[in-house]
Amino acid sequence: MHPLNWTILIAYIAYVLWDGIRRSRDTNNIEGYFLANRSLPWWAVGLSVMATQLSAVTMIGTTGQGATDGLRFIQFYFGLPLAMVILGVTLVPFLHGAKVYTAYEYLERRFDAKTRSLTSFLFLLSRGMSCGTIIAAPAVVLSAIFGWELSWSVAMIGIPTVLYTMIGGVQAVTWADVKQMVLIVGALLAIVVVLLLKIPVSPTEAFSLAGATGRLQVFDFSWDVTQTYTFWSGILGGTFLMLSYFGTDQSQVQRYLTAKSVDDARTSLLVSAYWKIPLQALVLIVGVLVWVFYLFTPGPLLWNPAAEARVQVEAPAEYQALQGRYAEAVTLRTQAASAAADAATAVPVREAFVASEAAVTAVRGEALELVTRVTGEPSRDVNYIIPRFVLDWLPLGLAGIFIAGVIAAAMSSIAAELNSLSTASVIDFYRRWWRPDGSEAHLLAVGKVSTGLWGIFACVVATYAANLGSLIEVVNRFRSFFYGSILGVFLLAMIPRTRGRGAFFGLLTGMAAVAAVSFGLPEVSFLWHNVIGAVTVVLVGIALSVVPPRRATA
Amino acid sequence: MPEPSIPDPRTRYRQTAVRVFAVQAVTLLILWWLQATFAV
Repeated sequence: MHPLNWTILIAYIAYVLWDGIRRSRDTNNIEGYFLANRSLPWWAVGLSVMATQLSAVTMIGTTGQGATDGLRFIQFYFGLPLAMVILGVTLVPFLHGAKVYTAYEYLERRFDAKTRSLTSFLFLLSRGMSCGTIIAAPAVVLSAIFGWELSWSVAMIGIPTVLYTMIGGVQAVTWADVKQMVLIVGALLAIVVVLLLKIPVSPTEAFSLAGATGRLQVFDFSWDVTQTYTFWSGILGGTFLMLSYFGTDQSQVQRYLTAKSVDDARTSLLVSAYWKIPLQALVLIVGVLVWVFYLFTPGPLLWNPAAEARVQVEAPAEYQALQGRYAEAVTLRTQAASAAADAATAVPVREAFVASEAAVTAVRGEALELVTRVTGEPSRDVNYIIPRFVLDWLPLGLAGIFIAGVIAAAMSSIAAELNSLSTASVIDFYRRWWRPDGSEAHLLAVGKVSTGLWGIFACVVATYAANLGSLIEVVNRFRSFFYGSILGVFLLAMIPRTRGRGAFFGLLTGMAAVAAVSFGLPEVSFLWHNVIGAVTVVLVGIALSVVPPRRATA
Repeated sequence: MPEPSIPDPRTRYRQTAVRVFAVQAVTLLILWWLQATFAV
């Protein structure tokens, strides 16, 4: 990478770190450290919520998904605005009005300590591991692109984030998120402009080519529960998933608990929904346009340089043969694309282009199979399309801004998670079970140490993510068992006369129901798991609350 | 000239909700148009 790009990247990281340390002046008590003394403006909280969920995976993985699969993924977010409105009139007033530090603290007030501890423990378990994978995803890509040791990439992303989160608390996290959001959107818009200038056909012709291969097929109205992304799974399953995520996950709840009032908290959630679907559409369209760009400018057979290097060494003859076939297929596709761009309405020309694209995809599929055979793991090639485009084709300076944007996206997600992990550890466990009479200064110090320890844990998980692959998968699968079920507990909390026994055993039953569906009917899309979990908890919880408790016999 | 008044939080919430759904509706219409015009 050019020294100017490096300068931009290093200057950005240094600025975030300096700003985070500067904000530590306002955090001399635990309410200031964990909740910014409930003083932040709604627009800053809204941007922070948005930045937290826009991770580096969105910048590199989702854009890559746009290039290979098109726009259909957008359906996943259709339930988000609806979920924000529902939360605004249900959970947000409960949680903000209760003046709690964590969402789970509210469950003890409403039900009992064991329900609080179990939900908080499940949060710590899943978020602790996922925080590592959030660092690992961009770190692995940066290492492969620049040829670094993975631990260096992890350190470059992890260390500044841990430092500013540890020192500055939620103030530093939120204000860094605001800046990071601006940088991310700026980087994406810059890429769109560059792409439109570099693609040798008009935007209409570019969309026509993308449309011919199904990449602009956004809406799927089928009720097929085995399809992950449909209109209905997005509206129904997506709404439940977003309700769980924004209503019960401490990494999100903590963002709006920092708002000045209930109305500010509700408005901040709506603000975060404002640009979510347009922004995701922009991210996917960037991917689609990159795909159009490579129709006219031949790209590599494998996007992942590390995987390509290994295959070239370990299966040179086979790979060379594939490269020969790939070069031929790409040449034919370029010719077909030019013809189709000129006469997009002519059906035979369009069909010839679609067939040439299928031929390229087939050769690439064989190359990916070869990578899996040689390295023992899939290449995850889709994550390397955008970084390769950025480094090879963006003008000087813009590449640095984009890589800074990817790192900013990772930092904003990691910082929010570290901050919330520390809050749940200190408030739900340390203060609740060990030191209920701990002084402000003591708990603040424990909060900072806890943030640092979670940061170290996340960096270690990220460094060994490849070796921990199956463990992370187990944790991710386990998380899908209880995400909807925890939402069910919070919904139960809003129903009068429901009791702690119903909530606790309802939660266990909900998790078991989702596990049964997950193992028994694996073809059912994961988005429906949240609906199943939440509904089971509410039904079982109400039933158990209606049955009077057994009296102890003398 | 009179100063523009700052809406109270409840009014601001309602106005934001209307704007959010307007933005989503426009985005979905654009996506629908893209699909109807260019997709096979």
